[in-house]
Amino acid sequence: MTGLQSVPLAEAKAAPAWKGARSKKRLASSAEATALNRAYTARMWQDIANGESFVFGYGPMELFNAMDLYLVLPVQYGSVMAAKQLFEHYQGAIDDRGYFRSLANYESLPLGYCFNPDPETAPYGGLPKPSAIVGGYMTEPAIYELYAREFGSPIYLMDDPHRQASVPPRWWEGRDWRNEDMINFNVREFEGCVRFLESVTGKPYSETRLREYLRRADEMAEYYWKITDLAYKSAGPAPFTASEAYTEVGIFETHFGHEWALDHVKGMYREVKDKVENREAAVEGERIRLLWGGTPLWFNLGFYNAWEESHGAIFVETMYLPRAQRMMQPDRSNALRAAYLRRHMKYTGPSPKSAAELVVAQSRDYRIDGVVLPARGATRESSASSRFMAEALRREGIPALFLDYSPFDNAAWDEEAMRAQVTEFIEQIEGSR
Amino acid sequence: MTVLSLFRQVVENRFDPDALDSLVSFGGRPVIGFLDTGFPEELAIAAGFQPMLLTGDPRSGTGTADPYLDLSAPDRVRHLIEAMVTGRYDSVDVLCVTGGDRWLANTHGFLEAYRQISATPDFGDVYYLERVRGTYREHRDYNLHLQREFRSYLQDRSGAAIDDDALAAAITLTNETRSLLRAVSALRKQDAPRISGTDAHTITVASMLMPKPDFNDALRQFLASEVPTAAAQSPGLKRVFLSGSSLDHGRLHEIVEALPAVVVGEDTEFGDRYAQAPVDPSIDPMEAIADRYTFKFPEPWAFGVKRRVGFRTDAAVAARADCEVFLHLANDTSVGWDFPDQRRALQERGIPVLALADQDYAFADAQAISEKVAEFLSRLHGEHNTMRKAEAEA
Repeated sequence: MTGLQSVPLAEAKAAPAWKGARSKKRLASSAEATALNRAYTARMWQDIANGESFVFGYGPMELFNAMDLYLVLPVQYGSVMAAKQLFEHYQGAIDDRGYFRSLANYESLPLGYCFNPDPETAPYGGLPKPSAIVGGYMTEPAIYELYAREFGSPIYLMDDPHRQASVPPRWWEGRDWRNEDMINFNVREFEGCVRFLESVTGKPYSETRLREYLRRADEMAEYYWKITDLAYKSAGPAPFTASEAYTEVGIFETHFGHEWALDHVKGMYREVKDKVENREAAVEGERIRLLWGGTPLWFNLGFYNAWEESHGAIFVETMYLPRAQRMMQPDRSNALRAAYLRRHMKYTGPSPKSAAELVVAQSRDYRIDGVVLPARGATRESSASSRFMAEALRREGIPALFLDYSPFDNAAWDEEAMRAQVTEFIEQIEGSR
Repeated sequence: MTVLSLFRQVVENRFDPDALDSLVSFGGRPVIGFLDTGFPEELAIAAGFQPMLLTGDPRSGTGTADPYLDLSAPDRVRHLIEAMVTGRYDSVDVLCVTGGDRWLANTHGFLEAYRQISATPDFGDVYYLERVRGTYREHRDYNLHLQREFRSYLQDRSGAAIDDDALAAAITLTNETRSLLRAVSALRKQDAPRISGTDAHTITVASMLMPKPDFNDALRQFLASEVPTAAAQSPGLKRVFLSGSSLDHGRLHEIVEALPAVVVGEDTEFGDRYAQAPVDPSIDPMEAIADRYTFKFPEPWAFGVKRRVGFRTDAAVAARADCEVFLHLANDTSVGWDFPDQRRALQERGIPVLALADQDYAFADAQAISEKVAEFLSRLHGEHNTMRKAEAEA
């Protein structure tokens, strides 16, 4: 399952036809990330078609990677369906079964394929029967139960309690503040998952192998942390923007621990370091730096480049690469524990108060002029924090703008109205100087 | 004053703990507020607290809470938080938020963050009691561990140890409440019941607001002296079963019963279901509490589609319902994933289902709902519930 470089890019599937504008990518490593992802994806679907085990669901990627198990995330497959303009097609199949349209999301969209299996239409030739369904980090367990039933696949559901009475200040810098009982419970959930996966896939679990994956994953996280600090904390203009960061997400979210992914991140670090040392800007004349504090507009990544020429305004992001700092787990003696701790931190922070503290600190560190937040969260976890993030930012004199958008429903996106709001926001910032 | 009017007054005054105290006397006990029926009231009672359900007010706006709430926050939570931030629950001593439903659980983080913005109102202590979503052995054991921690907290807060005898007594008390509520439920299932669905809902909510011994006495009196003399519902009324999103107010019952029709049961947490699954008094009380709150009917946010659908279907059949009205409140993203299976299972048992999707918590357009339900009921034909009566009796 490795040796990705041996897969010619020509064999990879063509990129989906995005409805929105394509983003500009100014790092060579961004092109490499896209190519690597395509190659991995092509190989994965080829292997799956040849009968290779795969897990459909969500959970600790490092564990799946270390067990040589492919992972297809419902949210990922659903977003490709949407990108191929198949949202209505598959959501229609879900509607026909009597589910309420308002429950629709990326996570549930592949159910449309279960109800209407049409391999000639579906991305990657459709979804074969998964070896296992794993429900981890879920919002609604019922969705995963429905997948298991429709595919006829065995399921393991993991709960993931994560709230605790209090979170210390500057929580992202420490590792020892999480409730030990909660950690132990979550690790037991992982242990159950490992036994389940070994039973249903026949793939062995090796503690030392996972430890090795985690070592590489930590090394990758350290590089991502350095990359982020170099790019956004250095005195000069940013060498890359949210566009390049979002291109990196495919690797950041699913390939931590692979040797080829580590090699890639090392290369990205060298490239960013050179650019920073040579004061090479992603956008010449950068004057305004905005932080995008929500789920990206996956169907319209070009949105983030729209004010670069007109206003010298760039976007940077907070939900992915900046998270690397809080992922590293030097103590890997219990590999499952380390795998749990490095992932389970939520995108914006473990509570509204802690998310607000983090976004203020990042805004200061990254020299942010304004923050754009989702008025309607993609998930209930992150959405609970946005208003308090905005309030904390305003107290610190950092402007915040709410945009009401759905990250998966491109049909509901009003490009003109959204651009107008951001333009006005930028011009207000300019006017206040 | 009749017992029923006392229950109504209690529910009417639920936003004012001091008024409730005057009405039913909390006996000087500190009040602990809870948000859903996953809260182990037995522990609070044994520790000398008065447990009290906190709800939103469907008659209020949400203008104070709105600036701090995401647009996708469910209306029920929006109204609940409005009640909190406008000081309606100021005199609650401790607020316990239980895990499970993600939005209700987020109330804990909301209040923590809100405190940074405003010193008032004073929410008192806010305790977060996690509750995991499955029934695996580890899940039950973790719930037990968390409930033991909560017991320790209550002991520290009250300054008095909770001994097992006190806990056993609290279990006896809440089981008695459940038993009496099951008697109410059984009366609703009769032909031409003498208790309306609206009144039954009021009684159930009152049981979560009043001191349990007083409630139990009052309900016994109600069953003995008021029910036998109450007017029976017309035998020709359509028998409606309610399902879907949990409602902590009775407006949907009122709308349906005004048609007229009779609501003969619900599978929601503030309806019939609150009375089910007594705590086993024959085993260690902490173990029994952990069992009850882990293994009771799985909420929509928990693992267990098959179990939920089976339970709900059986409940509607046992109520000899002519039909079911399935409510889905807007942004209630847990509720609805079972709906197609539930509808299919009910239809196979001869019970048609009407879905009210994406409704607002306050039913601002009650007329539209009333017309929709009326139109649905008008399409039901034949002698009602004959087949289901035989099935239920079998």
